Amino acid sequence: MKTGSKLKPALALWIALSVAWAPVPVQAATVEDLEKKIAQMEKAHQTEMAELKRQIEELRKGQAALAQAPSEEPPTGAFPGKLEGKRADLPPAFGGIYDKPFLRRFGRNTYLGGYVDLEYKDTEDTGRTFDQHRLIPFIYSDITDNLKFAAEIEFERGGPDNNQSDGEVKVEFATIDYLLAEWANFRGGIVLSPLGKLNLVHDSPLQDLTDRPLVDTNIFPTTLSEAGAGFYGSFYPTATGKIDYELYAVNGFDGGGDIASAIASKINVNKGIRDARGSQKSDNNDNLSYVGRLAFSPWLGAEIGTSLHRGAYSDNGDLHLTVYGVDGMLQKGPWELLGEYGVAEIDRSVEIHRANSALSKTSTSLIPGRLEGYYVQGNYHFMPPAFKRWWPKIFTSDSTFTAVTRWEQVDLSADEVSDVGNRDRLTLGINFRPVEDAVFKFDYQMNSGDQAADDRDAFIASVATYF
Amino acid sequence: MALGWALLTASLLALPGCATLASQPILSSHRLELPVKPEAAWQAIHAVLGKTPLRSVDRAQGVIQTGWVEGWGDRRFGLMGGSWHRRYRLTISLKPLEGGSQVAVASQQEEKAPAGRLALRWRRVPSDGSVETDFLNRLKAQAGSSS
Repeated sequence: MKTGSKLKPALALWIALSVAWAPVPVQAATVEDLEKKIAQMEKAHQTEMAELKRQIEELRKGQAALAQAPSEEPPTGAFPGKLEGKRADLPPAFGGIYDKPFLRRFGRNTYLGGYVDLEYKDTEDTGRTFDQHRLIPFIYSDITDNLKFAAEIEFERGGPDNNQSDGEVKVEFATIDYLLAEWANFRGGIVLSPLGKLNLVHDSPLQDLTDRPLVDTNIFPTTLSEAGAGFYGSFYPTATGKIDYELYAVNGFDGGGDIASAIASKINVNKGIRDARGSQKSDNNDNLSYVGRLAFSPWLGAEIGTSLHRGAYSDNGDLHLTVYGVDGMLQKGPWELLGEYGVAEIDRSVEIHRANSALSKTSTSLIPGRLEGYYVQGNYHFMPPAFKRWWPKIFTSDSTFTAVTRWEQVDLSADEVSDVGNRDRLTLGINFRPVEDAVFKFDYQMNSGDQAADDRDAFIASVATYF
Repeated sequence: MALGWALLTASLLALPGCATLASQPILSSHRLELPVKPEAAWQAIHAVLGKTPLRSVDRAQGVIQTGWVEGWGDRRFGLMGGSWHRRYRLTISLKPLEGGSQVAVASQQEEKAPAGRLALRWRRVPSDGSVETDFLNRLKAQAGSSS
């Protein structure tokens, strides 16, 4: 029975373990009870989930509100500290070549850019054509904090060496600015003459219609760039008001000579004073001309300006040309109203009067004594929300459409020296800007005038962009 | 020609007084009421402005106008990928209230492109309110800590 004695401790251990690990007796449950319990758990779970979702939503709303509302926490850092944009970063494509000192200077202080356009024109009874009108690179350099250089070089229609040699290259402006004070700064070089508002902001991507107004073609002969020097500045007379001025001495207009036949090639009832823009190399007489503009903006979104250009245009300096005008701009929400009115008064000698009287009243070589013109333009900016939903990659938050209407008239024979010289134009247009700096324009011009060439309607489409 | 000239003249002459069409002045769009006396609020304003250049200070009228604060905006430009220049200045007005003070702040903001003809002049642009909000947040904290 030794075997039995050996088994006793093992049996005792088994019994002890069995007691220790035995499941706790539970009350028997029916299937209905279990189903009821599961349903209760599901309901509790759903309630908890709903509460969690509500709390997450509240947190989200709170975060959004925090982003917009003034913070309860004191801001860190010194005031002012909000202008956080960066000076021109070096484009990655240029890589490590900026290790060289002169290129680093180029990268830090000089900017390159420009704009380009392409026009398509279908003119009644004339035909259709593409016109690669302008390719304009520009350069801007901060020489020091107070000394700046700016230039634009215009390549028109492919340049002078294009296939038909009918393009051109010229410096549109090249100025040295020396900043003295807010109200007075020096500018010298080839300046963009402040004659009318449009001459100062005539870049194709800025304009909402393709063609410039008639008054800015024949009376304010844009682009008017002149060699000269002067001052510009700004005043802030009220909390919301601003006055800007520019005043320069320049070479002025060049009438091409002293006699009627020479002057008629530059100033006439067909093209106004457009061909009389002066040389940037030398003045044709011993009298400097003066050009200036004074603009007052009572508040952001409204501006009225007046400009004047006066000086001798004949070689002997006896005959003077005075161009003056007013311009205005008003913005409110998506609406814009703008316009310009311009007059040119031209001194004429006895010899010119005699030559005029010898010509037919329909001659385009008549030299007028007064030119007059204006335009009024209304713009409406819009973007249908459905477009953004329909094609969000194209119609983004930066995109906009603009509907444009412009009415304009010029009289290049306002002193009735001629029976030709009246031109009227109504332009209806719409343009699309995928971003602010690029625009696709579609215009329809309804033209009328004393000459057959001025009486043809036209459809114009164009694209322009800064780069 | 006469009719067109008359229309243009009428529209231009109407500019300064055309309150229905024109944008409203941007002043007094951001305000804060402080539970401190005007003198304490005036000191808090100066403390917040710190080394900001001041254009004019009129204690009698309770108006401070800062000089321009220049820097670079968020708007990008052209080939070199640089930012537009941006600058602002604040007009801060302090008025006494019963048991406290009211501070109003507005900014004039201007920008110009880094190149091209748009680089030749500063042009005014609307404020997005961030500078004014930042100033008032700092003023609230400053007035709270010093009261």
